[in-house]
Amino acid sequence: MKNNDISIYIHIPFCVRKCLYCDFNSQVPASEDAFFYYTDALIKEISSSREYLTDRKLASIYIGGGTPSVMPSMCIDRVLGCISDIISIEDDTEITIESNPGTVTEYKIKDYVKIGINRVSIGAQSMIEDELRALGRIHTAKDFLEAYDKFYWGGIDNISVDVMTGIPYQTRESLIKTLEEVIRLHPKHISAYSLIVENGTPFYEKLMYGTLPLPTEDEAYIIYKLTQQYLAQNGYKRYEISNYALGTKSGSSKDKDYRCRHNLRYWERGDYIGFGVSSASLIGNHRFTNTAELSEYVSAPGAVKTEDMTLSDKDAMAEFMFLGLRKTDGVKISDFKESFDTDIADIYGEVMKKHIKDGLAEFIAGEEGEEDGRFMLTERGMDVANYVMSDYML
Amino acid sequence: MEISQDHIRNFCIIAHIDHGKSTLADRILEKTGLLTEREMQDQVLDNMDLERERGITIKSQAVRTVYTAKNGEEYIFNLIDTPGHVDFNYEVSRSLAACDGAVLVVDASQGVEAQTLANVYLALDHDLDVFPVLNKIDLPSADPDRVAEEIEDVIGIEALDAPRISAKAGIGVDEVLESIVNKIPAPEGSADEPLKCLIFDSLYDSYKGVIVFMRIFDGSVKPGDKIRFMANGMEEDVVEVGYFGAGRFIPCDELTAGMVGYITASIKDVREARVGDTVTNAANPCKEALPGYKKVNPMVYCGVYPADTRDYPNLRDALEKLQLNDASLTFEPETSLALGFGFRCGFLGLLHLDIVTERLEREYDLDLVTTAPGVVYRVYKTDGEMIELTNPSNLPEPSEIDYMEEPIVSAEVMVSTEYLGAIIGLCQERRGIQTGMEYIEETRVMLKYDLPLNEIIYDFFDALKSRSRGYASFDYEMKGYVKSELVKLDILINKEYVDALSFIVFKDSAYARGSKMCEKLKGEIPRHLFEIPIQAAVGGKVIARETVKAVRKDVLAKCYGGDITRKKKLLEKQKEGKKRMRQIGSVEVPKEAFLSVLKLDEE
Repeated sequence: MKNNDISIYIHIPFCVRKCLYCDFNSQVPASEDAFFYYTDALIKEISSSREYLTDRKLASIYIGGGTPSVMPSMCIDRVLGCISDIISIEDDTEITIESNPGTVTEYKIKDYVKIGINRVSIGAQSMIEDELRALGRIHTAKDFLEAYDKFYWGGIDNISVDVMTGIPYQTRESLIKTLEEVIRLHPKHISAYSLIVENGTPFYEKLMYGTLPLPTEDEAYIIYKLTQQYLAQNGYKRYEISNYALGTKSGSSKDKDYRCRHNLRYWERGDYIGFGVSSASLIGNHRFTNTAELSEYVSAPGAVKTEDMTLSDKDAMAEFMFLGLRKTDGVKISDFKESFDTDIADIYGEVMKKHIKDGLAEFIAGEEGEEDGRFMLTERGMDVANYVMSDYML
Repeated sequence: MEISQDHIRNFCIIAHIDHGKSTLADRILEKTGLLTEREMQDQVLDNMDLERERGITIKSQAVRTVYTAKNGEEYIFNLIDTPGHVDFNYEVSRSLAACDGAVLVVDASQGVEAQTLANVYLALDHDLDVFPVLNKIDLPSADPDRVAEEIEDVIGIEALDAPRISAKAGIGVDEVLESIVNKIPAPEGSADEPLKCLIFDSLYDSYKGVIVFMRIFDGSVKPGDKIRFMANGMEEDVVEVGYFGAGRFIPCDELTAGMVGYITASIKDVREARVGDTVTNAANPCKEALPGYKKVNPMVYCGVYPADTRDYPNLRDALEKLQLNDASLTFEPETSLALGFGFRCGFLGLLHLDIVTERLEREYDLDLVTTAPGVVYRVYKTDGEMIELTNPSNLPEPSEIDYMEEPIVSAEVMVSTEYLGAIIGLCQERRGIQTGMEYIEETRVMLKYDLPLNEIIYDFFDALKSRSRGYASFDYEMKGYVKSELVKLDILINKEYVDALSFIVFKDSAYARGSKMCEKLKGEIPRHLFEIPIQAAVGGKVIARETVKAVRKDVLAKCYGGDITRKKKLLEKQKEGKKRMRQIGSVEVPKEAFLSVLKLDEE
């Protein structure tokens, strides 16, 4: 299944303010200078990574963070320019930037369009003011609507909206209100993440002290299921545990596919290279990850790695399964054989049978029979994905 | 050095736990020059790491040292250290039988405790001359005058001129040494009589075979002699005789009446040289054996299983090795539906059990699952047969049982009046029958109870300590068997009977125990994808139930390029967790759950 495609991830570790639940690598920059130092470092790293990019087809670029939209658009322009000197950016290359309401202007968006950005992911999280405040977001619901309009009318209509479930103060009613207001805009894509309180975040501390007003476990579960139902009713097809797209390909070639091509590559273990602090790369079975220390990264871009290893077959097989099974269409039996030259049944036959028997997974034969079939989690299997996927660790 | 019998002193030190027995022993060895201060490691006689850590003596030890008394003459001291726990009562009694006198150490602030009394009575039973020593006089709370009076009143031995010492600070130890010379009699017996020795311990050594620890009462023994073990009639040729240096064996030419030492005779199994047996000369035997020999039987049984089933052969090897040095440990293979292959092991008591399992885990690097310990019940069947039940799973059908008996102990509890009510309450809850109550002082009472052994093996000691804030002490001995209303409490997890969780319980306690057990298990069994009922049943009738709710959602919301390694580790950890569990039907049960029956009384 490996082809010549490669994707690029660029990490921008800056935010206006860090949200209370966030454990991503980001910080509030001391001054605007940081943007320029960091851009220089990115360009240095990209320039020294020619070997990975030459003679490849660029499938997607994803500029994530942090809040990449806090960067001056000139910086993004320079980074993309540097990439295009090495590998050609085609018209159909998906180029996404993450942005948060309150960090974009019409001018910036005009620049984004000019430099080729064709997709945006906006962090709405909620449309309820109390919930936004509790999350530590810098914006209001109105700010989000304004930002959405600016992108839409500014020329980027392939828009994804992030919402969160299971957050402080959330109820079934408030969730529906958030979803209603988001869906009214007809975004092409919605990511609905359930809150996971990570160690080391302010939320974690509050949780430990018992001062985080989370919905009860039962309520959070209902909210989680309600999200899936409501999005489905409104034409958003779930294609991954937390991701939904409008008009996802249903076999008819007329349908435009709005699934995030870049993220699909992670779950399908396509080659990708990450630039910037803490970003990860996978080239074949070679995985390497940049240092998470900004100062370390800037002083020697790309030189300091926190991991740099060749995955064993066992590791790669486990990843194939637990990443592939995140998608609603699961894994393709023949892809496993192609990747590992081994029948999936020889490795996972028992456990697959058990999961099918327990109603956690199912097998659907392809047009050309079983070889061509797919193995995927059921809705119940998705709910308890960790439990199921841990069985695929070798 | 020529040893004259009247210059030998064979003695032991007896004390309640923590009153300073081992410290005094160390001081004596140090003062008599057997050890220099620099060589001293605290508590020389407690060899095992475990003994040092827990501050208890598990195996008997003996050491010989030479003391030059104030009268200028040299005396041989044989100090025999005895185990300090009720589990090893028989070993204690045999060690005492090997002595001629005992030094009674009493904490000058704590005074007489339950074990003090139990030990003194045991010593007096063996006709030992006992003299008291008041220890820890350097503590601010020490009140030696009061304690001396107490000793005279309660025990009835002379105590007003007892040496007042601090073994820890080295105060008064010289006086103790002189008292040993003056107050403990020289051994009696004659070297001309036929050989008569008492085995008070034995040790397996991979080069020498079993090393038998003996006190020679009459006659003499030397290498080449043919000796006979009177209990089983076994005869062996003596290979080596010797005495005990500090931590080593020192061979000598001959052991004669009055001496304490060891022999080796290429014996392969410690069970052939049982503690308490009498050894004599095969060619010229003594007329009768020393009194008091009995084969000690395990009092407490539990199933011991390897956490990883592949470790079964390693567990067997380890048990065999431990048994080389521990004649009272028994084991036989058993299988459990829930736990697979393992062993039903017999122990002298819960401490013994604890020590053995801890040594298995520590010294043999085994990960174990142990089932709830139980006592030996006698089941009288309608067909007249009596079985000694060590595994609850083997209980016959109720229709085949005529009646059952359980072991009881007679216990003595010493408690200050302040906590008297609480302790009486505890003993009643544990089905105790009061047999006596005596005021030792105005503020201290000695309670006597008959208690079922199965009510005290789990946590009685802890409960006693917590309800008396540490001001109660406890000692017991086996009394016998009494008829009792007993039932088998079964546990069903997800409707499957789990043999390893069954236990025998007093009928009227079954409901309370069953509910608690379900509650405990609910806390131990992780949530699964389905709801898991946990039920307690007696004779097929469910008497208590709890439910482990199903997991509804367990999913990582995000997993992108940079997360993959971390998320994979999470999943691997989850998988590891599953592996450490025992599969019961479709339920994975952590090994801790099998011990939850032990902790029923914890809040």
